[in-house]
Amino acid sequence: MKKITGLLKSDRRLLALCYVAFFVGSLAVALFGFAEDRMQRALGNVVTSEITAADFDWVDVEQQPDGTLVSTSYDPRMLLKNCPQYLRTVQVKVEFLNRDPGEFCLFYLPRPDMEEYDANYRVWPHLEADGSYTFTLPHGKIYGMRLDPGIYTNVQFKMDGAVLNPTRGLASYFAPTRVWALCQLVVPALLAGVIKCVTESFVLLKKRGGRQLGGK
Amino acid sequence: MVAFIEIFITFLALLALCGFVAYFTSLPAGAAPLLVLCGTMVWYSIFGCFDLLFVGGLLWFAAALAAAVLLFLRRGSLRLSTLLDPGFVFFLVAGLLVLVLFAVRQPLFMEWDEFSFWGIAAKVVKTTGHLYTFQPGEMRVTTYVPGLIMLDYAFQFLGMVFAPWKVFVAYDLLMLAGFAAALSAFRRRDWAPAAPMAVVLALTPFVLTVYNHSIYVQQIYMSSYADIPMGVLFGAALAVYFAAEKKTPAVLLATAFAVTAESISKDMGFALCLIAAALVCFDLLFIQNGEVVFAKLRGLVAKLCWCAVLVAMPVAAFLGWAAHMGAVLGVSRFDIGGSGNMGMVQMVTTGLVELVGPTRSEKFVNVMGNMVKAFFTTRLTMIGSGLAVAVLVLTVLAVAYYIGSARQKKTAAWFAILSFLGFVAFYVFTGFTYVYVFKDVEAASLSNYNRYIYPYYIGWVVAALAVLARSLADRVAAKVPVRTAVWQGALFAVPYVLLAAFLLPSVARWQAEDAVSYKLQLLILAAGVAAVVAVLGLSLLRPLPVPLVSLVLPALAVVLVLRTAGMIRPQLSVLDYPDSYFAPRREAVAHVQQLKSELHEGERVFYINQGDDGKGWFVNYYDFYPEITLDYSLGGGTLDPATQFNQLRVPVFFTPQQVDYFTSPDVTLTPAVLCDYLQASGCTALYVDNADDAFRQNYGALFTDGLAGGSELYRVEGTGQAMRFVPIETGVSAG
Repeated sequence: MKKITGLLKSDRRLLALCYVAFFVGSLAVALFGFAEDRMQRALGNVVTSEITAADFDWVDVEQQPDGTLVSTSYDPRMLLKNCPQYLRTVQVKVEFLNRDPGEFCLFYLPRPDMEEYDANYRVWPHLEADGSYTFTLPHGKIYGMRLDPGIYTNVQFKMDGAVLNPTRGLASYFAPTRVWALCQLVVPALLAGVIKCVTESFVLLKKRGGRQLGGK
Repeated sequence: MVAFIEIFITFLALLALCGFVAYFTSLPAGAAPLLVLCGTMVWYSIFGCFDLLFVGGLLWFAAALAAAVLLFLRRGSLRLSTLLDPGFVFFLVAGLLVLVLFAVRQPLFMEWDEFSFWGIAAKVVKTTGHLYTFQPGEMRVTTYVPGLIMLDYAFQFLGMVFAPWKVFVAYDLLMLAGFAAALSAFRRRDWAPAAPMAVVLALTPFVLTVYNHSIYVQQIYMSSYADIPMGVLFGAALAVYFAAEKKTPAVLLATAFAVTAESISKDMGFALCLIAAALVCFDLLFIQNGEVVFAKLRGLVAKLCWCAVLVAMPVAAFLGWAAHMGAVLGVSRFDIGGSGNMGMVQMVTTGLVELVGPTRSEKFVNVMGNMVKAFFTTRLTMIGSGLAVAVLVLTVLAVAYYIGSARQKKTAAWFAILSFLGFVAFYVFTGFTYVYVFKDVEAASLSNYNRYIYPYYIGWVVAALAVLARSLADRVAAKVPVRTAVWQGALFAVPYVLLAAFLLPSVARWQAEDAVSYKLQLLILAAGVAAVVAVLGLSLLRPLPVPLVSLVLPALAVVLVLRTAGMIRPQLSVLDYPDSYFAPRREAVAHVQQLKSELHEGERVFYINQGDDGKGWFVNYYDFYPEITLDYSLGGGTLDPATQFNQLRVPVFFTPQQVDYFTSPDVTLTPAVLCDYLQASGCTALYVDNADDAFRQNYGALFTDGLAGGSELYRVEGTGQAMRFVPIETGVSAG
């Protein structure tokens, strides 16, 4: 206990403690994410499956004679026919042939009563080294998923399928993101500040109480 | 990588100047970046107006080098701890993050006015080495004040080519310096309240400008628009003064430079800087009882001298730019034109006469009525309407009052009423511009209302936080006598009385008009009154410990972080936007690069984009510049044989005879006149961005392929009646 009190008395130690604790905590959260994913897989909720372009309903997307796909409007959409409720990540193997698609994004339905896809519920992909695109969805059940392969007419692309809930290695849970890095910088300082203010207030109030009791 | 090194060296030069200011003046280290950056804006603007930009840049870097050498030579006697106060550390860390992030991701301009002025002006200045007034090219706007463009030039100075992301770095560093100035009240020991306040300050541009759940990328912190930097500068000018414990000459000089920089950040900045100067002057004259020194003068004379400096510097900047405009552009800064075709002074006097006089025009009554309603009912920020912002500011000031020393209580109370009245003045002035400058349709809808108003909100919140920071750093929460509390409470009450006087009689009418309940407005007002009454009431009792009260800051920070994250997901912000956001722009830039390779450097190209609203011309002019000059081409809109020329649609280099010919009423853009125009303007090629059927029908005969080949570039061949347009093979075709 005395050691903890000592840590809190020095500003530098307090800050160091908060930075270390938050970092360790964030690692623990990542580890929990890994464990939870494994548990959900063991329970059969999260299932890895491979799908093809044929598993989607196409809107303003057509197949060309050579097998490649092409958008026929500036709002092409591919709606997954049988969307699993537990969808954590989607890895899409797609190659855009004639131009950058502009925005390539994934929409999802977070509630069963939602009839229309909403721009508030969409994610953008991370381009992997092998050229595939990985979308990471928030945890929780979803009730529909749609891929939008671009924002132009005549975007030609070759889709070699997609993997729903691909197995992730342990290391991927610890891959830093910009948000994570910013949190590492800011949150511990905020926490340390709160602890310092609370402890200082406690000491001041105690002194004040002591003076009143002592009649000073 | 080279561009990163260039801007990193500039950043180091900036830090050297900051170090000099922090070590060799009495300015707190946290406020040093603001003084240096505002000084940089003024410095480059002066040299730019005299067409000596390159010399100005060399001298700026020479000064930085001298500062660095001096710091190195004196390193033994300098303590690092002087520099490392929370404000400076915040600026250093956040500045480096911004620099690295933008150097890696290299965001681009995306918005209309970035192509019509804020981006293209910066590109013209970097490319030519002259202020845009000297080398306007085909730029359509050249009368805007130069401060922010000059700040950008300081960061573009090292390097051979213009980089848009450096503009964002320059503006962001200026904003961060403004926040650091608010944090400059804190010493190292005060890091605990400084950390959450830094978070609140950094979120201010998001919180006070975004009012809807974002579904597109928000460009805050990666925009060259002047509105947010202008708002932050307004707050920074107040912050550097109100955050300072002692009003030393260095603090007052920094304030003077900040108000001057504000006056040259955007035209409306002049109004804001005068409000800031007035607030500072009042505090200096009537509240500060400490010693103020001006040269060898002391006491009231010194205070009056500083007040004169605070007003004279921005006024000199205003008049200096007016003189420059008159001399170089032949334009009067005092004529604001618009629907009323008035001068600036005439607009204000006419407005005041209408405001207080017995007769008012219908437009005046309608616009002012809409302005009042918009303040109370238009959701303009993440926390709600202007009313909610005013209540937040007054509450922050009430907390600053509660934990302040006796003098700080006086400062907070007077700042509450005067900054509110300043807002009223600013709001009324903005109303006048709608009445007398804007077209009727724009005035009726209060066009761009949010962009004109939120700069005050941003500055107001930043300044209020600086006052709070001063109270927290003093750590002397004074108990006040009842009498003092009553009259100081009355100062806090005045804004609420005014708010109630406008809201209460109108709310029923608005509800009837809109069939919407405005009870929330009444609740906000009541909550604000309750908060201030509670805080002032507590002031009569023994104050709670300052650290305990300062917990309000982390609470506010958490609320604002959650609110911001809820409204703008990281993937839609500067933090983590998707690469695809800029993909269309990068593709357009690459396309223009390819087209440029098919043309000769220095060529003048006529632009055709049927149905364009003008943005296409601005964007392409920017992309083709400087190698190729895109002719204004009558504004880049739809062209047909009935299209007429006017003074604005012909090149500035046309002779009076040419102007007379093309602008005569019987001359329209027939195929023959188009050929005449191309010959007169020196256009040697055409860029067909988009040709519709009508254009093909009207002008197709001039094109050797009848516009059927899908080419985008055409070479002008022949003259007079024999002029024809021959496709240039580019390897690309119109999309």
